Amino acid sequence: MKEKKSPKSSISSTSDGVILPQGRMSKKWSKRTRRNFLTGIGFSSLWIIGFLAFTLYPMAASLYYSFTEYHFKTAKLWIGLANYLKLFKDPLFYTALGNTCYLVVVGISLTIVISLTCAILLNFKVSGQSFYRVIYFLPSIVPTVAATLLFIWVLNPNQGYLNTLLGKFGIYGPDWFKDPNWSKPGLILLSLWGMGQTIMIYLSGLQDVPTSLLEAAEIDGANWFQRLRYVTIPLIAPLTMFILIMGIIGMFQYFAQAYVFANAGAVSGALGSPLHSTLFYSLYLYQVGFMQLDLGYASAMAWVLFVIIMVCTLVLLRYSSRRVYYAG
Amino acid sequence: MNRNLQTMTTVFILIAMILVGCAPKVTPAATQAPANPVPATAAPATQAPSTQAPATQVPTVAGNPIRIWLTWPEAPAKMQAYFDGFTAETGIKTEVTTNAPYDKIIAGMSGTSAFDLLILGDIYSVSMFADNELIQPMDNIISTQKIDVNDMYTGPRTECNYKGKYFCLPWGTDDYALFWNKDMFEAAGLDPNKPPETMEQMLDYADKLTKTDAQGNLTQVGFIPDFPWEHSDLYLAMYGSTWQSADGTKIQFDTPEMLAMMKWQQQFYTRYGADKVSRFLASAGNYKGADSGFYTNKIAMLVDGEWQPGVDYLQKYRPDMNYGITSMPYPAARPDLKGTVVLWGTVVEVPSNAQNLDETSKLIAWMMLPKNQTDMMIQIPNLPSSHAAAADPRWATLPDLQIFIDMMNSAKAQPIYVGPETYDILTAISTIQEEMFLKGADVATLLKSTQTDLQTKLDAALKK
Repeated sequence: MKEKKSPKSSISSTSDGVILPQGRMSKKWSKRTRRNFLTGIGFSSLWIIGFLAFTLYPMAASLYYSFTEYHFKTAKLWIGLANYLKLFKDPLFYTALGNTCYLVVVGISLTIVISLTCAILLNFKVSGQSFYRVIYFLPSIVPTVAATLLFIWVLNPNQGYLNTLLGKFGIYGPDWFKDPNWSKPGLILLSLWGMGQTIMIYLSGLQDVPTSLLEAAEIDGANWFQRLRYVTIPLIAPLTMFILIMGIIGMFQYFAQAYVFANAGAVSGALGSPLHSTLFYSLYLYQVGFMQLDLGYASAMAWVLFVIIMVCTLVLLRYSSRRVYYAG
Repeated sequence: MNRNLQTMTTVFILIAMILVGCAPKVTPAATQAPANPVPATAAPATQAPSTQAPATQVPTVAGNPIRIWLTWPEAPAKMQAYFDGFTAETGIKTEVTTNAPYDKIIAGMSGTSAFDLLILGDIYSVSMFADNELIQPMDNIISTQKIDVNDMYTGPRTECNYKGKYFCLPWGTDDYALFWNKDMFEAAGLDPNKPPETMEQMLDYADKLTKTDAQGNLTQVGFIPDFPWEHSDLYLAMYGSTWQSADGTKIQFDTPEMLAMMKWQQQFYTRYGADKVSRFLASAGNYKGADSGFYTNKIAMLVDGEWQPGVDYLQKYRPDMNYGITSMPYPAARPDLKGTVVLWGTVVEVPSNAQNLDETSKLIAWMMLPKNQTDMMIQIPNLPSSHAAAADPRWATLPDLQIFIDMMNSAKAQPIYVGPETYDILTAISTIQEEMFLKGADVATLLKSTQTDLQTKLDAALKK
């Protein structure tokens, strides 16, 4: 780097930039810096164009639509906050939100507990370990629609495998399709069947737990459960936080399974049958937008969902900064 | 420098290629059937084969083919073969897509033009599409192509007239009757040739026809009012009322007739146990499949349309079934309503963004010709929508259809009122039925609250 001194000031410049007094860099870019920047922009231009066209523009457009009365082809009429006010007076909004929150709380809790348990079991050194790991992972790669159609058979109240199995233990299985108390648990069972990826995440985390810590705890007299409770679980807490955040984001947008359930004839009647028990937020949004053709209202719903997910995520991130141990 | 320039150039070429490749291309998943205007069907010998005019050497018209979307799940090749008859006569090509899903239809009508003609298997969405400017009025097509709407049956024609304009044209009419399994009747000690005449008798017959196993689970039922789908419109017509007043300004959910009709339906669930009936229904098979409860002698009586005796249903899955068809029973207190029927049907609509409007107009006119209409409807079968089409001698070769045609021709055939709240009405009925079937809820309370809610929505919609 060749330093040049201006004859009239103490400012010096280099081939990369101008160094001001006190060592600060000038904002003026050199040709090389500008060239490098443009090259970087060029390489990332594909993503930028995609982001602008398929993410930012639709988001901005939907935000605008949420303040209008808009029905596809009709002119967009500005109505201010009317859609949002209508939303908070809509009983089905609360029903859909309640159903979704049920899924989030119960579904994610069970997913975390059961997948961690499976991961712990799959971490034991037993013969056929690889085989078991494959078996548990396979359901997660079955496409959503195929899995849902399969579960319509599994959950058939008369001839389905689950009720037949329960019958062998003297348990009269519920009507998973028509009983509003059991329709959501049925869908949660479907989600649990496909939790192979979560199991694999936990499995990789368990294998990262330093054995020295576990040995030290064992030497100190900790039993298996205590080692799990005080060593393993805190060390895999970051993974749990990740699964929790991703699970919340995913579950709040739960749609495909409920839609296939309704349309495959598992339940008769409108979307969300029976008795609106499977009317989840995204499903209701779809119904409003594409069946009632009220895009303005549907856009308002979408933004409310965005805010809810954002708030939940921020709360969890704030919690994690205080309570989750991040090694390194 | 040169290397960077080369890299940048490569990147921009890639971007350009991707943008060109991703440009919207409106090509529905059509299948091209062989150019045979007379499709071979498995119809019995009593059905006269479709007679299309032999294809003379008509020059192909340059330009885009007419894109036709149907919500029917008919085989694309069969539909394409039918429309190839139009191509043979006019040289204008067509491209058919069947089983089009609802959301893709909405997207196709609201965005870049995806199709020129929509054939919908129901009429309740006409008002919604019209209010949202997704379909265009067809009055101009009717006048320029000289389509005789006055020859069409009043019911289907009325359903297409919304706010004084024809937003659709009927193309195949549906009405419903009661099918019964004679062998099951005989096995239950009933006269196989004497179906129930009144709705009260239906309950008695259902009691005799319903069987349970040792655990109390239903193994056979007489009748389920909403299998394969609900027919509240027909049942309500049998009680002498409708969901909505004739002028469309009043919701009529709080009438004694509506209450009586809903309570009649509820009894088919509550007298056997709603849980047991819904479990039975879960294993009643698919409506259109060999495992359907009606085809496997699990359900003795069925309310269904004129297509049920056709090649895709009874003839395919139970050609040996000993069945009868009769008009829907009436309430014992209303013998004057015997033979009442509600008319539904298929309609053709033109999206607002249709591109090939001239060619599409010609196609619509061709479809409405009595011979061409009969060519398609007799295969399914559906009923003709016009008197001229109904006069085709081929209909007489289908004896099972005569009762449906007679009902359609009678003065008691009623259209469905199609208005801005039709979708909400259907949704509300579905919800009420769930409440009253599954929970045994008080019907009067449900109807009263729904009446208030729907009337409020209707008043708001009518003010717009």
